[in-house]
Amino acid sequence: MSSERVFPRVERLGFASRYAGPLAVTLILAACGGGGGNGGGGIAQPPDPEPAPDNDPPPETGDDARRAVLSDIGTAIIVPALEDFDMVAMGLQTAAAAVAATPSEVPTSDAAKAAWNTAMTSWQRAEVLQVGPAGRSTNPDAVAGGQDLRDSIYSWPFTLDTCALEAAAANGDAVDGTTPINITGLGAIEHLLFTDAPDPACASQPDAAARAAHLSRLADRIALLATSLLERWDPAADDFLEQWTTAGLDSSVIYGRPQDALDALSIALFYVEKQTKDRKVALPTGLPVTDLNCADPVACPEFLESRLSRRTGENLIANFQAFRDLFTGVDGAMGVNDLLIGIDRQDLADQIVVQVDDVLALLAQIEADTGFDAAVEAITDNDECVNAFSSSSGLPPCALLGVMKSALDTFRGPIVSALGLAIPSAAAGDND
Amino acid sequence: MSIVASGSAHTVLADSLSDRLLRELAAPRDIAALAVFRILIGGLMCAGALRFVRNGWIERLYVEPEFHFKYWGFSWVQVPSEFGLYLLYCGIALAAICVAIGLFYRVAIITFWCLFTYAELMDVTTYLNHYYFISVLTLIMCFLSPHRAWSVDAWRRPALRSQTLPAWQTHWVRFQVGLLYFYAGWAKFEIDWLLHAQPLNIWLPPHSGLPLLGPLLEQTWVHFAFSWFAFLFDTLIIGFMLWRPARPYAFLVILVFHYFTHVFFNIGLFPFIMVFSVLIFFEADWPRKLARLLRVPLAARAAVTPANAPRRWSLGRALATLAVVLFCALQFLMPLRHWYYPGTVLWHEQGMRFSWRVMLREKSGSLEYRVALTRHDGTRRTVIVSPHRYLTEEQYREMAGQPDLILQLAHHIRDDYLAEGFATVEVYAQSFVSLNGRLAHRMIDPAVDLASTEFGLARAGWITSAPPEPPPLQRPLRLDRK
Repeated sequence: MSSERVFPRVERLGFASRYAGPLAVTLILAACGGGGGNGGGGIAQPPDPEPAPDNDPPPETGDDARRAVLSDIGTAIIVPALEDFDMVAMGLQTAAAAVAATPSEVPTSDAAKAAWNTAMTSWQRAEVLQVGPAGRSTNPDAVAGGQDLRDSIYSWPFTLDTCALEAAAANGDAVDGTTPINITGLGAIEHLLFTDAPDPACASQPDAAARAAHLSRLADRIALLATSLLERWDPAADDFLEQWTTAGLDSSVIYGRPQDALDALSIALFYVEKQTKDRKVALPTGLPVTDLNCADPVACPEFLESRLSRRTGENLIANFQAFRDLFTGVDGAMGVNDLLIGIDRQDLADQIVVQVDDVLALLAQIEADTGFDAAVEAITDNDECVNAFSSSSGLPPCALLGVMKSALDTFRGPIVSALGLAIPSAAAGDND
Repeated sequence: MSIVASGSAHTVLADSLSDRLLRELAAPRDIAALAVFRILIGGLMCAGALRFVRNGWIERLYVEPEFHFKYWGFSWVQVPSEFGLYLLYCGIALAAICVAIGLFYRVAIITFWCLFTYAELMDVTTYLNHYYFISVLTLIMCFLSPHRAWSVDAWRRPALRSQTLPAWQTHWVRFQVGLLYFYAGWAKFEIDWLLHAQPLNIWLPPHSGLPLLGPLLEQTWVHFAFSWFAFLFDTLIIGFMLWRPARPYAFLVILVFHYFTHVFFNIGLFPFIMVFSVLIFFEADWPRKLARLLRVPLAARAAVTPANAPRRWSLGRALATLAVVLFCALQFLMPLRHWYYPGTVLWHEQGMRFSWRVMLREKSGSLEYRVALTRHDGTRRTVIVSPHRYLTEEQYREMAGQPDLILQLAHHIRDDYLAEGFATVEVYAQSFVSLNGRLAHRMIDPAVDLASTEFGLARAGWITSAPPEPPPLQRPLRLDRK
């Protein structure tokens, strides 16, 4: 399938019409002012008789520099993350199939849990990279090139309908594109893997074999979606990577300017603020609001993302590690920080890394102690939590929120400003 | 004797001056320019209202938010239901098109002004200078008569028709347009703008994707050049528009300037409004000349007969003139009020609105409230309240850098908790703001209880001083591959 058909030419038209005038003006200015270089009729510079040997490539500037960073992020971070998820999703598929074959064997189930854990860690990295096909195609959260693949893989924070899921298992329902997102995906697998039996309150009570069989169907679907998502980016298939790395050039019909791709990346990075900080940490700690609809008057551990599997802390680490990688780049490749350093804002580049490292260090400490889920469940004093949040020390989950806030304030404030990046849901209205 | 003679001379001189002023203000001018101005502004406002609806901004800006920020003295302005909002904007569009075609003009322009201004008063976070300009401009138009030619009204009522209007009508519009440009320029006489090229140093590089011109937008000298040019342009352009030999060239510069502001910045209708508005500085018969040039048949200009103009001041005429002068004086003084407040207005924002401080600052902030609650039994607890609990992202983005809005939401939070039955509520803001690329600084004194702080015109001591360091100057993007 050609990329023209997969990615409709919409934004480029607006771009062309918008910039036709400046192009004309510039051509006139260029014609009036003459050109530089040797071909413009000026005094040609004599060639350097002995050019110094120079093994360093020339610096890249402007949009070439932005494309270079996008290219590195695409090839060194996004595509490898999707390749990794594709691989581990296949592992999960195999493990789930084994459970379906022998549903009562605990070792098989343990292997499936481990495979799910691995898949979840991988996906939590990909959560921060929701640019292009993984993103939504419709407003208000539409993403350029979005093809709605994310929610079918992992629908959190949509609440899982566990009784409907048990009913689907009992009925042997197929899992396909028509399956509602609140009974499919990694969350549904977690439920089937980490609960021994259906909630007695549910009408349907499938047996272990039916649940295992459904687990396998769910894993098949995720493996299919993982491959599909990877193929959307794969140069040998739909090649969204080409759209990404050539933003602003004719070959990219999705991104009229490299800045548009960076804006998409910026909005994707806000996942760490909106979901990781606000939903995964702030809500369970009960800090941000006082009228939470939860059982405990102090904290709300029922809002923990992966409470069944007790791995919410690992999710947070994966989110922040991916966030960090996007700034620092990996394996010698460039990241967002290179853009900051490239405009002489080393201060911001250093600051965000230090602050994210503080987050990761505190998370590592929490995981080494009780684990994030248990730490949230141990919150009993609201004032202690507020003080820990404000001072970024003390009660670990609450202090973590304070440390996260500092890092993400740096991102959403000075860094977004310095690079002229977009923020989510800010397209309404004009400026002046 | 000599004293009497001198007094008499003064009286004669004063009479002569006042009569000359009257003659100048009342002198008949071709109606063509004002009639076209009416058509253009009406048409543009109709398009603007429909664009607002089409873009889904009614939902995003007014329906989705649970809380709306009020202007001081206008807390009575309420946001209608969704159906009411659509009616409101349809009413604006309908009134605007009636203004454009000159149908029931007087009713239409007054209706437009009321509806449009009401819409603008619904939420402070939607404040834009050009919306305010439209409110002021259309308020002025309520007192003008540009519908006496090229309008349905004039077609229907021959008695209404006129080929001329008194000169004061043109002068008033020119004053308001000129004031905007002048103050927009004067506001740029500011250290960040002129000496550090901020915020253009931040705003322009992302547009380096422009064909050919793009790479220039990365260059620091271009940011300085644009900053200085914008300062000089805004400050001086009206002077050139008033000077007949320079007028065509000045207008060309205006076209280019506003074209680029349209390309570089998401400022909606602003460039169109300003281009249409400066047309009023051309000779009053410019539409007829243009029509002749384009061979479009139009009625010839009526013979101007100064004899028809009033020669004496009447009480009514004097009072009307005084009212206009007071209005103009208010408009002139309003943008100066920020001098009353120490520090930079870009930081404390006291005197920022209604002052034509257009596109002057890049501000982003983060904000949380720490709320101390005391029950009637004396037990205390502290909670953290995120503004997101009440606001949409758009509102949050706007309010996080504006102290008066931070205070307003603090009061709302206080009222919320008092309504829940708490005996006392203290609200403290944790506010950090980055101005023009600086690192974030605290903007609100964290020790001040905003719940017991009232907003007023006095200097707000609860706003911290602006960061003393200059803004950073970002160099052109360059990556040195390792």
